[in-house]
Amino acid sequence: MSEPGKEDASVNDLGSWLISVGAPESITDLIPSELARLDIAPLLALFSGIGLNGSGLMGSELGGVSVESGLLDGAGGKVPADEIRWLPVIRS
Amino acid sequence: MHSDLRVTCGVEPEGVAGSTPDALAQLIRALSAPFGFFTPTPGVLEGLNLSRGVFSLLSDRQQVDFASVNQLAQAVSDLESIHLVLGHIDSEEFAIWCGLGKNEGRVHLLDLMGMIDRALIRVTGAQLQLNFTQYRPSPKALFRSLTQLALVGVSCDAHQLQRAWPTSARKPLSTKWKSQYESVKVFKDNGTLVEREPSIFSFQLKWKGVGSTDLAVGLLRNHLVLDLGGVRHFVELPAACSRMEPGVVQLFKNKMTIDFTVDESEWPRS
Repeated sequence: MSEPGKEDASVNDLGSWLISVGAPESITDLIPSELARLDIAPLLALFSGIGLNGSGLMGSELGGVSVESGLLDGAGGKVPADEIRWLPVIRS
Repeated sequence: MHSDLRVTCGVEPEGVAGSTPDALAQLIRALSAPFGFFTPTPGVLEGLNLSRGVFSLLSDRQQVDFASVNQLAQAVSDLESIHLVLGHIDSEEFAIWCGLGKNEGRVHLLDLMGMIDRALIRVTGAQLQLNFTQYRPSPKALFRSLTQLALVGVSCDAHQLQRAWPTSARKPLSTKWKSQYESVKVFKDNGTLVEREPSIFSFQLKWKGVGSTDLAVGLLRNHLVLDLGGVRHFVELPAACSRMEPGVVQLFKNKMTIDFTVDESEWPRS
C-alpha cells in the first residue's frame, strides 16, 4: 500500500487507486469491472501536489470541479445547504 | 404495522460482515474515506459514523442487536439524516462524489434512498426486545433513551420492559417509573399551519410530554429539525413557510408551536 499522501506512479486504474488510498481489496469485487479498470491517470494528474489523502478535501476542490451544495445569501456569499438554523425555545 | 425485523437492545452487536449488506452501501462506505464523501455537507451529517449501526439497519437481517436503546435511536436518526441530505443532493454532485458516471450516480442515488426508506419502515415496525443482563441503565437514563426512540418513530412495549427488568435488578420497577415509561408516546404528527393573527402563522405539532423534554428545534431547508440529545427527527414544513421568517418555538405540555411571520417584501400588497 502506498504511503498516505503519496500516489503510486504505477496506479492508474480506479480499483488499484482506491486500494492504494485505504479501501479494502474487496472493493474491486463490489464495483463493476469496467469502472474498476477505468483509467484515472488524468484525474490523478489533477490531484498531483494537492495531497488529497487525509486532507479532508471537499468535492468542490477536486480539480476545480464545483460540486458544493449551497444557497446564495444575497450578499455574494454562500450558505451551506445543510446548515441547521437553530431557533430560540420558550417553555410554557 | 409490524415488520419481520426483531431488534434487541442491550446486547453487544456483532459485525455485519457476514450478512451481505447491499453492495451499493458498501461501495459508498468504502468511497467515503478517500473522497471525503460526507465532508461537502458538514452540517447535518457532521459526526455521523456509518459503522455505528446504520449498516445493521440497512442489512436484510431479521435480527439486529444494539448495545443500548440510545444507540438504536441514534442509528435511526443517522439514517434519517442521510436520507434528508440525499433528498437534496443533485444526482450529478452525487455521481462526482462517488466517482461514478452521471447515469450510474442517478440510479445508485435512487437505490440508496429506496434502501433507506425500506430500512426506516422496517425499524419502525420492528419487534423491540430489551435485555438488561449485561448492563442496566438507571431508570432516568432509560426514560430519556426511550423518549429519543419515540422521537424517531420506534415504540417500546412498557410491559415487555417490565418483564425484562428483573433479569438484572433485585428490586422491581417503581410505580412512578412504570407510569413514566407508559407515558412515552411515539411522535407521529405531521403538523398543522394555522393563522394566529394577520401576517403571523403558527406551525403546531402534537407530542405528549414534549414540554418536559430538552428538545432543540431548528430549520434545515424546508424541514423542521427536532433534536433530543443528538437524536434527530425531521418534519417537512408546508411550502408556505419558505417565504416566511421563523420566530420563537414554544414548548407546551403536549404540543409545540413555531411562529412564522409573513415577510411583506416577499408578498407585496397589490
